[in-house]
Amino acid sequence: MNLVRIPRDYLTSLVRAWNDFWFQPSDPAVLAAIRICAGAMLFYTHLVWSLDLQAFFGADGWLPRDVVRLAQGEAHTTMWSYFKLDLIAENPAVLWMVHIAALVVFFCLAIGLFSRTMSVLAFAAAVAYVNRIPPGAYFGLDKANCMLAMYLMLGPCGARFSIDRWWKKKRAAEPLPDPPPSVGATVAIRMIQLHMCIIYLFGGLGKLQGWAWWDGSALWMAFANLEYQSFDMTWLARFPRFLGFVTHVTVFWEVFYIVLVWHRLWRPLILLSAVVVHGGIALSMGMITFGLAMLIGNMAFLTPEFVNSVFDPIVERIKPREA
Amino acid sequence: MAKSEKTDKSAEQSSEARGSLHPLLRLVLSLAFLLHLAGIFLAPMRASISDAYRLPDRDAAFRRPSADEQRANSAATPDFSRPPISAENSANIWLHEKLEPYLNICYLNHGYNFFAPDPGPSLLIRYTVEREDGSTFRAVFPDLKKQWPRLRYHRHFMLSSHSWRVLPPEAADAYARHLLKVHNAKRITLELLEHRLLSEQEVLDGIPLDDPSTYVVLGTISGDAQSLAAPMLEETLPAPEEVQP
Repeated sequence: MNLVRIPRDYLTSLVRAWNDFWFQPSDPAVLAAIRICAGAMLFYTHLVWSLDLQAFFGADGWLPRDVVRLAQGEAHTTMWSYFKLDLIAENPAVLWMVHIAALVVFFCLAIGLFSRTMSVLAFAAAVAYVNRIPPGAYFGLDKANCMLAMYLMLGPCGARFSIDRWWKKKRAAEPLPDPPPSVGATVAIRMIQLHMCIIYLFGGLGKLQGWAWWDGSALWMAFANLEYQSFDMTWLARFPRFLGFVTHVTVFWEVFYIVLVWHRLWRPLILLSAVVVHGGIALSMGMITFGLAMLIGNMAFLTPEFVNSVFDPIVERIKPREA
Repeated sequence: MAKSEKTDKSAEQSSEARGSLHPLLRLVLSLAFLLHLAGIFLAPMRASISDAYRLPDRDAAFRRPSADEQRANSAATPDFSRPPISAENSANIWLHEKLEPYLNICYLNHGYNFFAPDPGPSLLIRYTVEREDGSTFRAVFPDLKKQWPRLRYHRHFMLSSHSWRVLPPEAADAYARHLLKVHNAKRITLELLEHRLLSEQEVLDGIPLDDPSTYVVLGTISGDAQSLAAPMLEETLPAPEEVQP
């Protein structure tokens, strides 16, 4: 009898856990906070393209479309981008119009104006930029940006901390209750969480293919790289054991993030480590945008209560005053 | 008993909360989630396999072998320690190939090898342009003094970093043509520099990170807009040469 009941109970528990993991409605506060930060990062990232728009996306720039086509190979057909169109690439005025439109979209996403629509447009725009430049001027920031933009589409990212919410409150005859828990918010947050785990897992496993992460010299190699340097950390040459220790801790943190971040007691420590790792990379190696984008991804592991306690007072302070 | 009741109650509440979604919809969504997760897991896995095995299709797409390399490859003894892998005999590659269009459309088809496998030396491009009036101008990119903010500098850094191995040789020609146009020049020479990393001891001995001996020329091309055809590969020079930065 047990031979039937035990597997059946196990399967039932498994299905219940799966359903709870993906379909238990949750407060959209965390997703909304990620929307603000990711939207701002998307806006800044693409604002910087303005300084070299023609050089990177024009017809005769660093990477002409025929070179990109050659580099992308068979993937070129599915790596779509409207920047590959003659109409846009060969007409600077059109190129600028498209670029400004994208900046408006990213800005609206950040402030939460027509949030859901803007999240779809922002994802399409972010992918269009990034599919035009690789393998050339892209790096980890673009991967994190597109990943976040993609998952923002899945849930009510403008349900809190947004112009949409403020407008809804203003038009309502009675005080609005908090936005209802949402399955879409849960799915979006779960996807960001799992994607972050995969990023760190493969980041860690990739490091294990090299010798410098095994013998502890990798961190020194990063600090000794003048082109990445924003603060001179070469004084650490006097402390090779410390460098080796931090190198190994970094690999362990990346490889085991996928396991430890789900544990209630380990989670704060793992997230604090993310702040230290990415903050350190941002400050000492000049990759501020990449570091921040990864930290925005890590926000998916925060609780709605914590996010509300941080964002509610800020939103209360900056929201438009009644006349 | 009390615990069991509590569990049942909690399960009931969960079911109630999920009640808005039809079970069939949940099933369809679950399958979609699994496929998506498989895709984002397999993409970096495939990227790692490609690095380790140098899959022919990937290699051909990203780097055109030189004539010498082609001759060396055809004469080389097959490496039996690494059996050939393909979609026919590898489930993960087969599934990745099926999901590849979706991954490309959504920009998900890549690895996450940040500073991996090893943080290596930087690649820089130094160029010298000759203008119509005979004057010359020399610069290096990336250049932190000229490219601000830092993100802009990093974009240019990635251009030089990816100019070798990752981008096809035609990219160097494109860089040269672009710089010719920007500087309104008649002739240009591009040099691919590797900036060697110093050891802890070398730094403790007082050698600066930008010591001239740390810059090595890996390859060079020169010409005008019409004659830029030589690939920027290490084979273009017989041996590395130390240069002044």
